[in-house]
Amino acid sequence: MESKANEGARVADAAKSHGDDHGHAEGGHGHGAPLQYPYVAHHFDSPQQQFDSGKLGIWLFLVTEILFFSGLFCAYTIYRAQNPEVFYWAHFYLDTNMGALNTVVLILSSLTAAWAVRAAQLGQQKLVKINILVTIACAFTFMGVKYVEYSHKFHDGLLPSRHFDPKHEVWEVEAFKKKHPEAAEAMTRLMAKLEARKATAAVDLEVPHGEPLALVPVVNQVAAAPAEAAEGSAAQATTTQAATAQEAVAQQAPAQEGAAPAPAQEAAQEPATQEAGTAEAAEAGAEGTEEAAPAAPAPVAAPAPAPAPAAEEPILDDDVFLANELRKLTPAEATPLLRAGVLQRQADGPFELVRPKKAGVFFSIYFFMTGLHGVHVIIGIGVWIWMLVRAGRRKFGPKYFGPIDFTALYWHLVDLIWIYLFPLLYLIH
Amino acid sequence: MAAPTTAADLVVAPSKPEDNYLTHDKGILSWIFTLDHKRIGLMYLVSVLVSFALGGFFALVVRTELLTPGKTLITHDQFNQAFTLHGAVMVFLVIIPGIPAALGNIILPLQLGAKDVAFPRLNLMSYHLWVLGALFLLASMVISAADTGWTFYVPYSTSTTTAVIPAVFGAFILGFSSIFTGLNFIVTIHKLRPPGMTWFRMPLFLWALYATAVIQVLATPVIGITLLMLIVERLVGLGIFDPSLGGDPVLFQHFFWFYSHPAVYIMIVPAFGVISELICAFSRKPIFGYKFIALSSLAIAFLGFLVWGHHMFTSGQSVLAGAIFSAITFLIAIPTAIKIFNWLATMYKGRIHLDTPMLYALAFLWVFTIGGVTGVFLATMSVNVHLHDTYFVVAHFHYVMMGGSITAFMGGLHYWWPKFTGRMYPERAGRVGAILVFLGLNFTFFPQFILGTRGMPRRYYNYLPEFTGLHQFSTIGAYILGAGFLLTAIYLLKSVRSGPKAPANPWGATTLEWTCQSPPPYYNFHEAPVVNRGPYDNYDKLRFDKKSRGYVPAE
Ligand code: HEM
Ligand SMILES: [Cu+2]
Repeated sequence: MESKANEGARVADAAKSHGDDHGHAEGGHGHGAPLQYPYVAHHFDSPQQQFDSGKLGIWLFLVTEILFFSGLFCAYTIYRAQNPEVFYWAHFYLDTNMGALNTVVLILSSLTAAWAVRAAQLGQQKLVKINILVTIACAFTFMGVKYVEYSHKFHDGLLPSRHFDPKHEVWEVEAFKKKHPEAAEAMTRLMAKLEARKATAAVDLEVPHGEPLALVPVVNQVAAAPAEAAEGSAAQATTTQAATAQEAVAQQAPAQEGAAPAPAQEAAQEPATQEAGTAEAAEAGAEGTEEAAPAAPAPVAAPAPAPAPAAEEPILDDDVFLANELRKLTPAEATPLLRAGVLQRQADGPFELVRPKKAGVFFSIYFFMTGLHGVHVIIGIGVWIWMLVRAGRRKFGPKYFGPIDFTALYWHLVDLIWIYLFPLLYLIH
Repeated sequence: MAAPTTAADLVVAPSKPEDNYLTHDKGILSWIFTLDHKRIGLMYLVSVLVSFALGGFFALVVRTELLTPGKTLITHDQFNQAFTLHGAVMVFLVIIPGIPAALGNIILPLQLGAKDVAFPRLNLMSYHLWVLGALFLLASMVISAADTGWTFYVPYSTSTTTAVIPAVFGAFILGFSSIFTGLNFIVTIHKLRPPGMTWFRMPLFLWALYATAVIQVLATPVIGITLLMLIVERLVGLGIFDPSLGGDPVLFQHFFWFYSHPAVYIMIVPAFGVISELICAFSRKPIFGYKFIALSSLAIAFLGFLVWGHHMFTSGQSVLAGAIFSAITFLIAIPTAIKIFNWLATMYKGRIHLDTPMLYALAFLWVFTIGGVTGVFLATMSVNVHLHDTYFVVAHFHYVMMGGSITAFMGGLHYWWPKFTGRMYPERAGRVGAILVFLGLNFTFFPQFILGTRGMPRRYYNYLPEFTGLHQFSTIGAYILGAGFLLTAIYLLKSVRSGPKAPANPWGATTLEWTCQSPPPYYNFHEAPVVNRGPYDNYDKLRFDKKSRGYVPAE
């Protein structure tokens, strides 16, 4: 069928068999006949054939590009499905405003790219150049914004796994504060308390790089409730992380200065005695999933002022103290922390404050995807500059605009990939 | 245009006999920066053959080391490096580009009746990328050769101290070379067919190249991104694959085989195409079941994407997934067998000429069938658990890659040699070489099936004394194989200088490349060929011309 069309084009001369407003097979010149078009390569018979070949070629190329990125999207999907809390945790660190700005910039550049093609088809030389220039300017803007974003990330230690060393905890991040003010405030208060205690007590809460935040295994039946409240995907994650948390505890135990050798077990004895007061709160929390949450805080607040248990065991007390404080978080405060995997507890055991274990992987994926995309933008800039030079030589017109058309197609793909990356990385919930 | 079928289209295009693509321009730069598909193909051919010698050298080192248990020649670390280099060179530098990029580049436009491929510059770039990729592999060799096996499995590749990054980067670049070749071929076949060349008038080699190109374009980007991730993993520690950072090494295997199983079809499907040409030409008979052969290539290309899990039965994949992968793998045997039966049917009652290319084609039928059937053994889950990572797998893939792809490549090389160089190779030496290769192949790899079933693991430096006999048998086979290739190299090189001048059509074949002189003129065809017949019609309209020692149109 297609070959028929080809033959048709050759034979039918000016007949509008292709229905395009450009480069028909003009004249039925045969194979090898001298070509009257300087821009048709020797091995093509007609401008039409050349254009069609280029078009098919660029589409195939775009297919390979999509497949190239698909590996990364696949890795993204797998890690997100397995570690939803990491993605929830990490997205607070991304600057949505900058991402949104870049999205707008790229969409604008796609518009001007398309306009450049149109202008070339209509032979409006000046407009072609202006549009290409705007496109290039947008591309540079995009890269500039990315540069700012990247340097913030580098500065804050938000790097791929091996070098991952964030300077701020999630509740210290603006985006988190804005979205979950109660949780952020509660954590800030809690940290301040810890600091204060640290100043007086000799127990060191710092943990070596790569370990979870210094935290304490304390059995807390109450916690079961908020954990469930975190619901759905997060609930599953919590169980899978049980092992992780356990490891963390095991690794940490020896590191505790003067701590009893097996805090986990000891702590395990304790809860029964402590829990009477907060158990109800937990119940409340259980029902109070996200929507109902605001109703719950009142009863929980009550036990807060009494850090009594800490007094009973002076050596372990920082840990116990922290755990108790965590337990006192209201569902509204606890839920976001649970979802972000910052607050975790083992299946029926201690409740602790950690950093999600694979948090670094998010930034691996983030840098890899946006970095590769950035490389494509840079390549695009190069190609657009080349197009600008050629447009400057008045190369394009109604009969010959293939290269600009193909560049624009490539550019649309680059744009499109960003349009996927933006929500997948910046806007997840 | 719609003239009745005559022999006219088989006429040799009259042209100044002196001017051909080899003599059209002079000087080294006219080669390095040529846009002519034939020259690019020839450069590929030389490069591939040199790589083949290099890969062969490593193979002989490995086999010699295995002559006795314990140390024979090299240390265990060097052994790991030797088999890794052997595998990487043979797969990435030889077999994948061998038939499509080297033979295909020259033949595709000629068989199609086009003046060039659609994007000559891209074609040149593919070649330059190939060279660059090869240099990176070479760099790894010089710095400290990778020792991970050609599969670069994580965590070997993230923990070894050898120069994995250059090797992987080399493979990454070679991937792009392959993608661009595939893309070029697809567009060429779609858009550059001359008048009358319908899809079903295309020679089967073109169908095979087309199916291959589809796989190249769809699968190779995935290995590209995988290798890139591996490099970055090693450089900065992504934690995506590396288990010590919380990554998932099995994910790497999925990604790797998602490409590398289709990649085995990148290696074998063009070989099918060559065999179709050879069987027809040397049986002097139109192909039996043209459409079945043509479409089965596409079926294989499609199914090939759905079976990667058969490499991972023992990697902790669920039994259900394993069963599905196993079943789909069995399905692939169907289009493969269709081809084999059609080739046999083509030969039936044909006038079979046992020239060297045909000997290679017959060797292919034998050896590839064994390779394919043992593949079905391996695709059976319960059997696989026993045989995985043993010499049985080694024997299987050598039967298909060495016995399938390389044998077909050698057949094609001899078949088109007169077209490429304008010279005939010595027929008698050619036959001796083909027979040596066939015998060597079977001697080398058949014992490995037995070794594998008895539990000899692959990639081992040492082995139990009871395996000694079979290992030595295999090593001697490898020397015979080496001798066959050495002989072939010698007479082919000699023929370039002193071989008799080749006629346009030495074999009495009917596809379009035989209608232009040998070697072809710069622009291939002076007049666009008008095609009004199937690719294998008109054998009876040719007669042998004693003077030119080639076939010319009868009447
Ligand atoms: C009839 C079709 C085929 C079937 C059913 C088949 C099946 C298999 C199976 C199940 C394995 C996995 C063995 C294991 O590791 O446990 C395997 C390995 C392999 N096959 Fe095939 N195969 C077929 C054809 C081919 C062809 C045509 C090629 C190449 C030209 C090929 C190349 C390989 C290679 C290279 C390996 C080993 C990869 C490695 O682990 O290094 N196979 N095959
Ligand atoms: Cu496979």
